[in-house]
Amino acid sequence: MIFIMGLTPIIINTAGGIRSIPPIYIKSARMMGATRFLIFFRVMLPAATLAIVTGLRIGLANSWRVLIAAEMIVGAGVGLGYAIIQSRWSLDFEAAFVCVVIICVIGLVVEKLGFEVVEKRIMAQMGLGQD
Amino acid sequence: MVLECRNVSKVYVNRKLGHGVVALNDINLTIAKNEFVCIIGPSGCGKSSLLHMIAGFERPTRGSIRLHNEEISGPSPERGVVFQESSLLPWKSVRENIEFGLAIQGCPRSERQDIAGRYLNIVGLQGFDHARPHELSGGMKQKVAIARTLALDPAILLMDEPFGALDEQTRKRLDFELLELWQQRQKTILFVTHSIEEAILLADRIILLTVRPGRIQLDLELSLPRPRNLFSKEVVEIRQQLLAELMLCCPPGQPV
Repeated sequence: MIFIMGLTPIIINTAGGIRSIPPIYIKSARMMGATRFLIFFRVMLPAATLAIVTGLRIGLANSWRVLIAAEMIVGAGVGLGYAIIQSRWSLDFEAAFVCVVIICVIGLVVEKLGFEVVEKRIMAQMGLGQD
Repeated sequence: MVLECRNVSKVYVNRKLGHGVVALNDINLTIAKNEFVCIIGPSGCGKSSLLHMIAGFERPTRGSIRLHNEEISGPSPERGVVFQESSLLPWKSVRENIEFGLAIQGCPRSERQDIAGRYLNIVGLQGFDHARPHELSGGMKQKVAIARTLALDPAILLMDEPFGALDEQTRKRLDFELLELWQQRQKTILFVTHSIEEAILLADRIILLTVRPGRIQLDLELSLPRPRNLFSKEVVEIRQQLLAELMLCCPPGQPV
């Protein structure tokens, strides 16, 4: 479940990213004598990097949510989702909210320090997003 | 003779109309070594189609195109293309873009660097090695594209309105620089443009295509010395002649 929720946006975004590559890049690579293999790895994949990273971002967010929910339902015995359920049983509301805050903070840190930095760097390199 | 087109026709099938649209009809054209040939014609006359077929991106519907007596079967670095829009890879630096084609050919790193450096010098962009395409002006990008294609050492250079998207001044300057480059390095060039003036400034031979179906209406040799003055008597005469021919090929009232 976690796997599917995470993988779908990655696949969709990668495919979309590759489809939106300007055909001129592929044409000029063919003119330079590139094989299909080289065009895929040296032109199409790098050109779609930004879309792939966006896919990873959504994929990770989805997986994170499903992971917490799964812990609650399955009752794994460990994990933040399980901890929330457990504090509900023991009427320990403070602990439940602390867990919720921890979940938010982890998500936020991954977003801000991980993906945003990577995305910004790619965009700067490609000359996107600056006027 | 470098390039030979024999009875080349191109028909595009249009599903909506239910019949084919003849873009080019029976083109016969030979280009000699080191010749600078310009193709001019109104938009939709098939001049880009012809160039794409020579480049190998498309196949002619009928007829044959031969380079050094060998039938063209697909794109190849011996027919280098400079496109109208910027085709540089945005995540690579200027130098990496020029080296890219050589790397594909399996050229060793040190040789690649030598060649890239040399062509950067030739187009006058030394010092811009590590710039990214988005940091360059439109004219500079086209110069990099020219350097990249020249680095492949093609037998013929195919240029598809390479300066069409640039402003008038930059375009004139690049025309002049291209001419110098051609005179120094002896290249065979096929240059597509819709500007009569550009063609007169550059070409040994001007080929005028008619509109749908594209046929060769005029094949004009220019033996004027270079650099040419656009306002000299001979040039003005040729300009008038070409303009009159252009009017003939697409009379008013016809859809364009």
